Amino acid sequence: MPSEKMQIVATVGMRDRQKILALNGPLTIHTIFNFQTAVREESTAAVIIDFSGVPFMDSAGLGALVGARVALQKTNRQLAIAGLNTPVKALLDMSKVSSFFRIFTTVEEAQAALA
Amino acid sequence: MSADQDTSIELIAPDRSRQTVRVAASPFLIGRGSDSGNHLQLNDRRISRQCAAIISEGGQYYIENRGQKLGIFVNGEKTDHRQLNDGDVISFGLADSYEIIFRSSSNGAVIPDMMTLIGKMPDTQTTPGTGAGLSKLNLLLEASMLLHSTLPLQAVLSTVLDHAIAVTDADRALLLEPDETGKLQPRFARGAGLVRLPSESFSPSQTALRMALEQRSSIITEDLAQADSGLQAAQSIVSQQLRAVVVIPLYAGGRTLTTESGTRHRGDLLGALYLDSRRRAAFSKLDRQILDALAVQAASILDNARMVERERQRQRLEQEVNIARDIQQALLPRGLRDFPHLKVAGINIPCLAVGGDYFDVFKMADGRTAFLIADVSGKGLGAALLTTMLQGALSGLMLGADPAPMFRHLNNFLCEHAEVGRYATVFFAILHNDGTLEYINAGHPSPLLLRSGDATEPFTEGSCPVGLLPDVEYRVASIKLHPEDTLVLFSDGITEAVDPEDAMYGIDRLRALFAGRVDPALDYLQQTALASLREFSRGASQADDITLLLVRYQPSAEEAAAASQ
Repeated sequence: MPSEKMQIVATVGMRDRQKILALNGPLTIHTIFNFQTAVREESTAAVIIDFSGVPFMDSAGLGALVGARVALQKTNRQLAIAGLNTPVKALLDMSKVSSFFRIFTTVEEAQAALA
Repeated sequence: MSADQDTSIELIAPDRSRQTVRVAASPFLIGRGSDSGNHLQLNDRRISRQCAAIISEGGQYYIENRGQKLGIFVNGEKTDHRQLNDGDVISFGLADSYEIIFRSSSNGAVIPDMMTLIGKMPDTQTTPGTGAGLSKLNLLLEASMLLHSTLPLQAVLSTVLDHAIAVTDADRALLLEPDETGKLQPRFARGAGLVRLPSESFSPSQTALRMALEQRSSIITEDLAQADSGLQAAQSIVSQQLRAVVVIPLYAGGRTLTTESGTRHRGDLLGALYLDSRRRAAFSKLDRQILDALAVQAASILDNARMVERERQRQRLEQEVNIARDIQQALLPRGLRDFPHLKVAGINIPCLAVGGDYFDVFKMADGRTAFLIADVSGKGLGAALLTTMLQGALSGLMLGADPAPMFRHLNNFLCEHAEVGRYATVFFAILHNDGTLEYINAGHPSPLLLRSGDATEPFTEGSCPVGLLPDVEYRVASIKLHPEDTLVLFSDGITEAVDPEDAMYGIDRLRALFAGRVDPALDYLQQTALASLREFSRGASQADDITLLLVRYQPSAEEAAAASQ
């Protein structure tokens, strides 16, 4: 199996009340708990998830990502995702959930857009 | 008296206190007062001054009546002269008076464990009669048989306590087991006479317990009046007027390791046997050896019983899973028959005992045929539960309900119970007799449409999976099938199957497999797909369930004619 470990690095964004969570590793059933904890710990108005270090995502990862989106929406906060590779984007598309996310090519674009 | 004999009597006074006296002379005279030169003086006016004598002759001991008017009784039988065996109870025909237990034990042999004790049994049997030593060995034998018994743990441990009481002649016995923090807690208690005591009311001497655990060895105190001062002063011992305390820590692995610094135990602490008495105790060397051997047995029983219990639990769980699997397999359409205008083949291979995938084909009340494939996120029992619930809900569509509101309802139901933490992708389709296919694709990979040798994915129109996002709309889309059109519905366990190098099978490979084939039998297609998957994965273990459903539209001649008009 490919490495089932994921590191998450949290940094502050260019603008106020933005937080960037850079994921490094696959987002799968083995790593979603880390992911969920990291998202829960954030209380900023906007959270950008940097997927450029995520090689793939499974159905549990998709569930966790949608869960994060729903949780932030409930508290009127924004979620954006950036740096998706082709397999990850394909899973979002196939599952018809792409339209529920603000998806950006790069983290910089996401930061600029989430004013 | 021979050197390897340690002969004594245990004197039980009218107040039930006990005292051990060596039988150091022959004849050994018993009677009231000292006037008659009695070795054992009994203070009861009903007992004659010259009462009885114990005589040693040729290595055997005998009791003789020397003038006790009411008679001498051995084990309740009146006698004037009789041979004594270990454990025989001598009484004087009086209520509330003295009793004497004759003790004669072999002393020379080191008895390290039960097997040695059992090995000695033929020797013991060559001597006539059965004594207390043998009956104690029997306790050990029984204990060892319990190892192989199928009694509940509670019963086995109760018996161990009863045996320990029998060996030590204690008032009560307690089994303690460590709690999560490792502190020993009373588990249950037994009293002399095979009675059950409430363990809560039993406050064992914590000092004695601590000493036993610190030393990792048994604490056997015959008489606290002469014991280690720390133990003597211990509060519970004083307040409960205890005279004798035995603590035997029980360790996994059973075996005792004897070193020069004493007896040490290895292995995890399983618990402790605790016995106490308000009377002074007297343990012969054999008693102690039997007690040690019994403790080894007790630890084995505890260890074994726990393993058995764990194994039973595992088996129960396995049984439950097997039942779940049987139910799930039984819920799949059995012996997929062909429907009037639909040929069907399907297979579901869960990667665990139960799966998160399922497919179904059913005829609706209005004559149309519905088929679907569903894939619940995750796998195993959790996914299977949701799968089965989903199947029940969707089978309701058989009655002709409108699928879109049904999906909305299912989706919101699952989102409201977000703790379930799972969602499902579903491809659901209803085939009209004229070839019109209405479908809802809830986040499932598009089935392949095989038409005239081409394999395409036309069912991309769709909504997101059920249970993922609340208040999603599910739309019904429609496509027209031609006669002999074949749909390949599959779960991502197929496209995401991996080879040993972690390469994925992929949709392209699946499409290529089916492309260029015109009208082969569905069973053949299914077999080909599974063979291709097997060949690709080269034995690599698969992480997901594999489900394949093939349906082919085959209208009757009239329907085909009607459809083409």
